[in-house]
Amino acid sequence: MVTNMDKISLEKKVVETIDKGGDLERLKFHLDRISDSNSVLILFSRPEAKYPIESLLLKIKKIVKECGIKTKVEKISVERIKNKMGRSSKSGYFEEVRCKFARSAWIFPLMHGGLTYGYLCIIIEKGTFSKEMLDFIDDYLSISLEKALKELELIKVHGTLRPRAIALSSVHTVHRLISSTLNMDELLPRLARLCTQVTRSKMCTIYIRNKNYLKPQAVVSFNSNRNPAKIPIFNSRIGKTLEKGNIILNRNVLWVPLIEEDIIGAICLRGKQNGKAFDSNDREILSVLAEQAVVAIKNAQLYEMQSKILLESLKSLSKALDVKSPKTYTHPRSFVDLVLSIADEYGVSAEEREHIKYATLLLDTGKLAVSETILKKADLLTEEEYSSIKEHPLKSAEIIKSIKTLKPVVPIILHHHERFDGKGYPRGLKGAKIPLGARILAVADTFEAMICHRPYKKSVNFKTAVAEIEKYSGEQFDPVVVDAFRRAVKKGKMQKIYYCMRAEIKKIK
Amino acid sequence: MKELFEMLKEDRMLIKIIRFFYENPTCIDTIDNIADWIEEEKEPIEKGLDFLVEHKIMNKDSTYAAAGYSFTQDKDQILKIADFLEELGNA
Repeated sequence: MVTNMDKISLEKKVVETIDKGGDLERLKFHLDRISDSNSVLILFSRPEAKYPIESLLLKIKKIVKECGIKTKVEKISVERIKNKMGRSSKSGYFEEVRCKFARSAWIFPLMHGGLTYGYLCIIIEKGTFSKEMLDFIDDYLSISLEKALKELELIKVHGTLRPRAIALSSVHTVHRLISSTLNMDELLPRLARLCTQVTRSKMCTIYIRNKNYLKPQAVVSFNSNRNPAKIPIFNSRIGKTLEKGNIILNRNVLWVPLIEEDIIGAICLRGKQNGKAFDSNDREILSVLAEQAVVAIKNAQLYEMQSKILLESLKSLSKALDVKSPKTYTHPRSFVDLVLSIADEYGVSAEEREHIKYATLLLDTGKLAVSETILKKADLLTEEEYSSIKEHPLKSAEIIKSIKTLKPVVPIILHHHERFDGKGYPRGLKGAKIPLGARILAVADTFEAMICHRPYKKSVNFKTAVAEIEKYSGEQFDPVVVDAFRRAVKKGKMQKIYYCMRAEIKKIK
Repeated sequence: MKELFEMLKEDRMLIKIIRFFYENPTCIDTIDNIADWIEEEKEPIEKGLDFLVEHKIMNKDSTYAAAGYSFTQDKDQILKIADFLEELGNA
């Protein structure tokens, strides 16, 4: 709906555009040349016609003086000009004005599409306008007006186009950010944060379906301590509405369901930061994000399921190794906790942590290829027997590399017996060239070997084992990993694991 | 914060970035697109954005696929930025 204020503002803008466009200067140039006289062109926007005569008088006097015309501008002449403006706007035609200060004066209405945007008053000092001249001026002004209207339209389109392009680009970026996350613990908070950002909301809650409830899984909130409760899907108004795939849009709340055949969750926004109400624009943006979120969540859930299956398979494989060589060179179950404690203190990424976990379970797979006699031998190994043992990382890697999903795990397994100083095996890698996971495993494996009984040696106590690790920091072990290990010891994590390991080993015995 | 704004006054690029996000607070975008929006080169923008992230005027969300930069949602921070931009406008 265009209000009166909008119309007045538009008319003013049109008149300003014509004024700045240079068309009037060009028109004056031609008129002066043709009439061999000095012409005065005065542009009025429509509201000025409602101004008191006095202000019109002052304006015309000023302009006449600026043009160097030495004449007296009288009130009666200005009244005539004003009357002619009214007439021309009714008739749609130019109107002649007889003024004492000018030989010839005309009022041209600036009309387009039935609307009057303003008036041009042309006064010439001497001479008169022929009909052809008047027609020419009328056509010229029509073209000028059309040009001004087109220019304003372009500015308006550009003004709306840019914000829309920015909004579209934001939605695309959000899509990329959520689609590339397969970890649910990372995905949902990120999604919530991005939803608040794009809609400038105070709070966003992501609900995921759990049986017949929508449970809040991620909450991002600014200036609010609200704790959302779970929503029964079939026993609440909100739940029932969302379950049917409908959006709930109120002044301060916007609910959008996450649907993939059935409802899998919902996104809820509460309150806009600027205090305004949620509108259809917010609904549209959130609907688009919800569609993207469904795909991202399903992918993450599938990935989680796949990881679980893989982990169970690896545990079975690990158990097979246990069956093959019980009470010998195999790690107790708490060994995984030992490794991950160090990894967590180091601050590895979530993805790297998964790889390290799998590597830990499959560390000694290669020992399946080593003779049991060697594995159980209590005395010192011969050189040949030791070479056979040293091959186990290679054999482990050989077995694992055929499983595509475990490809990132292979280097960790292969190099977990490398030394930081380059004197390890199988490749003699040095320093940071050893994969991080392998450097972490090296510390954990050695620590565990010290505190657990082996056929060829007795175990040492916790304090001694810790001291030994610290002693060889920089030589056998990465000093940064040893620092992480030290922090885990300080926090008491290692002690707990130590007692678990000892208990496990006692049970096996 | 005061010292930060004093530092920012000297940096045309950072002011441009802040002004763009202040005027488009719902924007989340990559470095490439931001470079297009404010018509500047990519490399200095990346440095500028990381500086602003460090000083909590901007947020950064990144994955292997993309890094999206967005404006702070801290009310107090936004008010101070508004005053800062107004001061620059009046200068």
